[in-house]
Amino acid sequence: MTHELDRRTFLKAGGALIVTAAVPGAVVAALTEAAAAAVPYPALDPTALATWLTIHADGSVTARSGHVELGHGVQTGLAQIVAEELDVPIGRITMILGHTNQTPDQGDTAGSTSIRVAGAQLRQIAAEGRAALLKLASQQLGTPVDALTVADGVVSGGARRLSYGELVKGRVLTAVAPITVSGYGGFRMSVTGSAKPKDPSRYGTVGKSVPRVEVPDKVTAKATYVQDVRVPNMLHARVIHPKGIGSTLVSVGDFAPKVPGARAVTKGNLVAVVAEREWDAIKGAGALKVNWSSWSKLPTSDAVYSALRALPAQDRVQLSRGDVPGALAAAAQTVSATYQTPFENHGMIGPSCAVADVRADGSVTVWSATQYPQGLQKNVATLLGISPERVQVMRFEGAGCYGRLSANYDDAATEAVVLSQAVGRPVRVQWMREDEHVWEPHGPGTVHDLAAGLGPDGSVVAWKHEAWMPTNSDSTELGAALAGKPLNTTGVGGWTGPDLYTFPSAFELAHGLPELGAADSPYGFGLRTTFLRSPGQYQITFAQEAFVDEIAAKAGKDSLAFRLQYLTDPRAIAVLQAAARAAGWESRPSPKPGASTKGGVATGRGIALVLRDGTYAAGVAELSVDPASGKVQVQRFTVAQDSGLIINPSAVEHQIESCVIQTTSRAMMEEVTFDASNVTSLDWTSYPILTMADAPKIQTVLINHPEIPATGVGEPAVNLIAPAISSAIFDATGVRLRTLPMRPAAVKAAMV
Amino acid sequence: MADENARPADSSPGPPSDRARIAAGAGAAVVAVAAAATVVEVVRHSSQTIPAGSIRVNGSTHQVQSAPDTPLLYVLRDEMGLKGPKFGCGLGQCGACAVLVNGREVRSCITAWSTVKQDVITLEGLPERWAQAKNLSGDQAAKTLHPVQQAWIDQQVPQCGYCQSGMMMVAVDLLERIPNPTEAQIRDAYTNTPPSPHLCRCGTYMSIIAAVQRAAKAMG
Repeated sequence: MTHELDRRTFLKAGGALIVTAAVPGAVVAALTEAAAAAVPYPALDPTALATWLTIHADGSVTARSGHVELGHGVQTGLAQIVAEELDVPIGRITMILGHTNQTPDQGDTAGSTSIRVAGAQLRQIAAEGRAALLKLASQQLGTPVDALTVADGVVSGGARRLSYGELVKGRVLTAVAPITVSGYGGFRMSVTGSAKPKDPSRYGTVGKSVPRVEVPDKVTAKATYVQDVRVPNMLHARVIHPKGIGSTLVSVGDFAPKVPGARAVTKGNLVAVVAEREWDAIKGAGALKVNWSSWSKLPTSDAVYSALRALPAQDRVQLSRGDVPGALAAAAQTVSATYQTPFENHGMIGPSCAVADVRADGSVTVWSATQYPQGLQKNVATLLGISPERVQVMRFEGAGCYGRLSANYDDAATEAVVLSQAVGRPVRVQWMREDEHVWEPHGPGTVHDLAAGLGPDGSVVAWKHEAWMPTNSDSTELGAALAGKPLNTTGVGGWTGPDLYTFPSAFELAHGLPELGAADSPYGFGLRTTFLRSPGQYQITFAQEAFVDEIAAKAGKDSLAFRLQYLTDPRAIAVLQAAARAAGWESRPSPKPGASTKGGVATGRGIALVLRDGTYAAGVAELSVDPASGKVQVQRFTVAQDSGLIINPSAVEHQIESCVIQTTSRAMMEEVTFDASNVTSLDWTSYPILTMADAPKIQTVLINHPEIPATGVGEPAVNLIAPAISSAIFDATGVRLRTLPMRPAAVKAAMV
Repeated sequence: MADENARPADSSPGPPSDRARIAAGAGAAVVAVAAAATVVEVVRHSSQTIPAGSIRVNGSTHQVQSAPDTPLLYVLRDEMGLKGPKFGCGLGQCGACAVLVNGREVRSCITAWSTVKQDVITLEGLPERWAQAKNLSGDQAAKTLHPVQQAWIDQQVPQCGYCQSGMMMVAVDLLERIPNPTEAQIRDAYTNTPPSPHLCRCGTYMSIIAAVQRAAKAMG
């Protein structure tokens, strides 16, 4: 008997299907043996229904998705979609997410695609499953499919009833007609078949605030995060990262003081200390003397915006309509302004962590919190020069990552792989706080020049926006790069965001920039920057929406009315009006009458609009400003959102809450600082984030459109926060803040 | 509020294949600890005296194998296999590692275990703490979460959940001292209790406030 045969048999039979048969214990044992023996895991066939879906004999259902839970509730949302199509109670659905040997590749869990894309694929699969079950029922009941009804996983035909479990009886479920999958694993992947998904008007489970299935385990310490993974014979490791971003290793000295049990491991420029005990690894990493070459090719953060403008750019015209230079020259009045946003941290509360086991036979297991298990699987295979089938990635939840593990699939995992191969044992790499603050791929800093021309009646005749943006998609894996086997490139920045306003002439130009310092680094990367929640669009929308407010003020118009004047999309208009209504928006120009920096604490309101990946959102900030101290207190933030069909209203509201609080932090407090060598904001003291004391109250208005396919909810509201706050400060005081973060010192300086 | 869709607290997550994965060595801190059971002695202890070289955690005495300067966090996680307290910063700046020592919130990442002389409670120990406070029978106790945990479920507080063990520790500490805190007192407890504010990156602060108020009602 070979373990591989067992494993293949298991997979061909549709995974857990067999497990519900008479001998689950034996199957579990065989699987355990297979895992222990590390046999290759055959690629899953995405056109086979059994790859995705298993109907167990007891009527419970297992569905598998390549997407992963990030705390955004996708495990529950996807289960609702499957339950709905199958007409099975949600409690009978178990989702398996993000294990390369079990789940199909549905691409990166990024870009608001979990429900919009992966969910749509699963809906089709579940519909195919239902069709297959009804075909079986039709045969066994002797009733035409059209005459069958399903409730709670039981099919009724006339007076007879059969449960799904009875229908399947441990056999593999086969689709009625072939399932076609195109673009497997990519953002444009599609799953098509012959079944017609349920009409949304008949939804019962979708649209309900089903409690998130993973929450009870999270509040009872039963959830296993990647940081909790311990495997037999495992060593703890701490990596000593280079001194400067482009520093290379000169020499490794002794431990001073000595740390019994700690030993140094070096592979190229990857230096680590490993130990049986975690504390010895930590102490050892602090005691080991390591000499790095000096490297000082960054501009300093206080000169970053001029440095960004000076970088070689790949220019791309985002929008060109009409004769902007002519219209600007002929305008009765013009407005121009420069907006700037700093480098930011994703700021995972738990620093990067991964465990890798590179075995003597060349097979590999990686335990990771990556947003893309199959992507990491391929990267590890490339790093080691083996086929992806030799690598399995087991994905566990980690600390919230907000894009940090989406293009860089997992720096710590590649480091653990290199180290495990070097020491011949499983290795757990846990970054310390400073590693994460310094070496995470940050959100990029950006610069925006905007100009507008107004006609004699105050209407907009021209709109111009130029943006300078470093890459948003650094996909370098640190372990690979430091070990001398770089995997990926860093790219240049792009533009994210559609134009909603019907200005008669408009020109938008993206200056796509490389990473700062990349041209002078031996590793090919500089100050690494990658996707951070609503990447690119966050920065673009701040500049544009705040500037629209500036134009409205120049024209002497109410900010809401001014926007409505240039909108034609009914969904955009609806969210704006809904947000304004909920917030009690009073129609008048900004700044408010009597706005001043001299009269003590002032209050104001600001509004903003965005369309992100198909979701419309509008927000109103209400705040107070103390010009004397510069302290801004956001008292309430209202968000109205239309994301098409709402799968789970409670989960959507919690995502909006998340967007508002996290982005209030980004807009008001956060900035990565660096000197010529490396990042100097090392921890939560030098990179403070919002605390509970300053969290605004949040009001949400959800607009449901069951007839429109669901779109993303984890990112859109992010874009509203900074411009609405900037405009509210202007409304209160008449002073416009155009550079983030709007910390008290900056606000105070602007008020004087 | 009963939650028929939530999994029972004592069920294994996922289908049998998931259990196979755990049996294969992934994800089970407990498995690794069990493998090292020859050097780890866990004794049920009712006396208030903690033997030298030991700590008492969630009602049991644990003979520590780590050097005296080792932060309590690593003893709890690496020796005892507890998953509640989390490593967040190692600097006392975020609160992910918070546990209760003698009923008060303490940052286990900056507290050497050898300096801990009183009872330690982690997230794992909250149900029993409530059961003892309410003199619940064994059957009742087995089915009952601490009201703070239940409120966290009812308000759907966690997103990633990584910081929430520490957040719940603060809630218990606060509610045992101030049974009906105002919103301002809650914000103050999470922000101004030394050594640092409790940080959540997912943005759950407002849900936490609602959950603490909900738990206060349930405990009152």
